[in-house]
Amino acid sequence: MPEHVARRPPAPPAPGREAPPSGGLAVRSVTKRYGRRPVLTDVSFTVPAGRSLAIVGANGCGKSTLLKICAGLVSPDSGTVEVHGPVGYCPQEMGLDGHLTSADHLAWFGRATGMSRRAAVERGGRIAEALDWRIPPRLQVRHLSGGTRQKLNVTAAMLADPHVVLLDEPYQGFDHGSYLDFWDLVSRWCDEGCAVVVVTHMLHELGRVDDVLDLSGTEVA
Amino acid sequence: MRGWAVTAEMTLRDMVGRRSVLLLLVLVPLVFYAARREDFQGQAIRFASLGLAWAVSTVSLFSASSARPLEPRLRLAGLGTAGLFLGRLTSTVGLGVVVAGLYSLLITADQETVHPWSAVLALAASASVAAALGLLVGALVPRELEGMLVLITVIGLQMIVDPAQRLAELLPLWSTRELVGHAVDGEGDVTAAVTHWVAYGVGMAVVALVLTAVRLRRRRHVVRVDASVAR
Repeated sequence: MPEHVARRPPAPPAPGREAPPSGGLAVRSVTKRYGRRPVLTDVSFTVPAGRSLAIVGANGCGKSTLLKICAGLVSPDSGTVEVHGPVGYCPQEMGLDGHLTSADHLAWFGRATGMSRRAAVERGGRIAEALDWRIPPRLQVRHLSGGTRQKLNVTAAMLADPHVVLLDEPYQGFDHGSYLDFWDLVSRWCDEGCAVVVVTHMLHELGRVDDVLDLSGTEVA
Repeated sequence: MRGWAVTAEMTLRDMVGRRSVLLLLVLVPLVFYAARREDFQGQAIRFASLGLAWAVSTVSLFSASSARPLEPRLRLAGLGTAGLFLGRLTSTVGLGVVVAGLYSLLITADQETVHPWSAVLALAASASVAAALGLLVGALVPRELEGMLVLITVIGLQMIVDPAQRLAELLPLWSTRELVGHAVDGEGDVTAAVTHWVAYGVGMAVVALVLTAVRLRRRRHVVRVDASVAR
């Protein structure tokens, strides 16, 4: 069983407790194996509304798998995840359609919460602006740079005003300014009451989050 | 059916965004048709139908594959599995039927047939069954290359298998052959062909929908609590 050492360890949920302290996310005893290889063993933590958690660890230690389990995209072998309110998930890989425009993606995601195309693009434009990005009206996604596609991924994840935000290394390809804007946004989303989980390798930015979960068992300096 | 209309729209936008694909979708059946135009009439119509099936099923397969990484996120955002699947089915069938309409005009003008409407039905059957076949293969085989090889096997088999064999009737595009036979020679069981068309078209779509629903299912380990209280 890997030891989960954190600089400021996230509080494990109390036994038998049905809900995290105040909204947010509660992960209880999640275990996952790929074949005979254990990836996650008895992982538990909570992220209350208004707080942020960074998940760190070596390559292949199960960070992305854990986030997908939290989003409900992958089933664990055992354990439960409790989420309060809508979830916004931004994957590490580009989960986008290269032949659609950014506005098309926002219209598609926005429709899930009843937004019109115009409303979704307007709201997406405001989120994008905070990432120092202006949504191109007609350019297909395949023509965007990697960093810009990732900004679209973040924008789509935040479109429905989620209460729980799950971000898997979302800043890949960001320029320096956008990267700093991103961490400011994480703080802002927490101030607005979101529970934010970020998978990251950027150990020097761990001061920007409230809690750290190290899946590799190596203590974070 | 949440998300049906927007998914249909985005599927069309995706296909319109691939202009060369649209061009090939129209040209592939023409190549098949032109290659056998000087043969006796039935062959040209039959090959145009199979060329149409090949083109539509390929477009349908690639459409399903390109949406595969996006669909779990759309589902998480709140769109329904049925809406996502039926939206894609509507657009691929619709696009195929439009191309079938173009070839109906060509064949009606260029070929002498005993029952022209059977030729039109054959083309419509090819397009709609092929769209469902492409989505089924896309649901069964997650990678495009393997999916393409499956399509080549199924439609290629339909082209080369002896129509008198029982195997021909078990393949998804048997209805096309039967309807072309009725259009050209006045032979062929139209009722059986239409029944086969509907059974295979609906059957393959339902199986593809079930596979999609399993893939995009809400996982039982996630307990969702309504957080409608103000943050």
